[in-house]
Amino acid sequence: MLIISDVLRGHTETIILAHLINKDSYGYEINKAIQEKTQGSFELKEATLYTAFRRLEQAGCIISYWGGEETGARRRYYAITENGKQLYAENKTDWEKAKQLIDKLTGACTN
Amino acid sequence: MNKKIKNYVDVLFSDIPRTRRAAELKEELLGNMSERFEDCIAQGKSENEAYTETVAGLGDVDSLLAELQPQIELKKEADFYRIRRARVTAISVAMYILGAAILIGFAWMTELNKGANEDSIMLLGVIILLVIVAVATGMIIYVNLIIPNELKPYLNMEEEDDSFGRTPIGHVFGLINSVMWLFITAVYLGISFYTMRWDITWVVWIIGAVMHGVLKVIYHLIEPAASKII
Repeated sequence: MLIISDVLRGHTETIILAHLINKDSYGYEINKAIQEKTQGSFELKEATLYTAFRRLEQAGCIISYWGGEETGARRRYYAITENGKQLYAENKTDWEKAKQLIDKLTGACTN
Repeated sequence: MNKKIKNYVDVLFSDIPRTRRAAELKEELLGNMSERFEDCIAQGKSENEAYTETVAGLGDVDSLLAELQPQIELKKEADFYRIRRARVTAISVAMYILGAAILIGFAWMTELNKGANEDSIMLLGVIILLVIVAVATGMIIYVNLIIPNELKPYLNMEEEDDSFGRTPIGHVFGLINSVMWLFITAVYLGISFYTMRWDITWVVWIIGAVMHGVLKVIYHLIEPAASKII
């Protein structure tokens, strides 16, 4: 289990980008979506999430803006940029390749 | 908003310099945590359970907060710029006063020798004043512009400079404000040269200050959120 969350943490940025491709979103909403998708077996710590946000923002992959909520606290929304979409596509192909390699390397010898 | 969560976040940020970046992170954190807390309550959890879960979900924020701490090196560098800015600002202000003194001196000279061409002597005085003002203003602008962006939070520049916030409306008001001051400067010079009543035309600046105040009041009325920035 430890390994799974470590591997997942390495893909925090790609996971965030994948969510932002569909629509602009904010921290808690993204985390909630992750929990729902994984049936509660995985959630990001908020600190990890914000660190990834800052990194992505500095790299120009996402931009942030404050929502104009009528009630309660303002939300900071994030939106994906063209750079971000590109990074997402690259990370996705990288992951596919890695997955195939790992499958090959860890698979039992069939011949 | 839950008080305990607010307290928790307040304590987290108690040692952090109050830069805009810190205030924004705090607001973001608080908003997301409150929402999570409300969700837990809605699921039927007790306040204590909800609080524990919310705080546990935060994880290790140390590295995140460390980014907001001023590093010693940056602080030293900021001090260098701060001292230089203070010096240049002081010199510039002295130059403004000197310019005004020269103008008064010229006026006095025209009083002494009545025969001289008063208008051209006064004009010369005004030109000297304007040149001095131009140099001094240029110096102030320059010394502020050369400060690297990453040092600005340490020099209190972000908080200090905008009475109109960074929202779109704030930008519009900032623009109106600068245009207004340009206009007032033009009006002042125009009226003064036309009437040559320099002894009374300075009142225009007072009117300008009043208009600036009115603008600020209107802004805070339109955008109540601006007045409660953390």
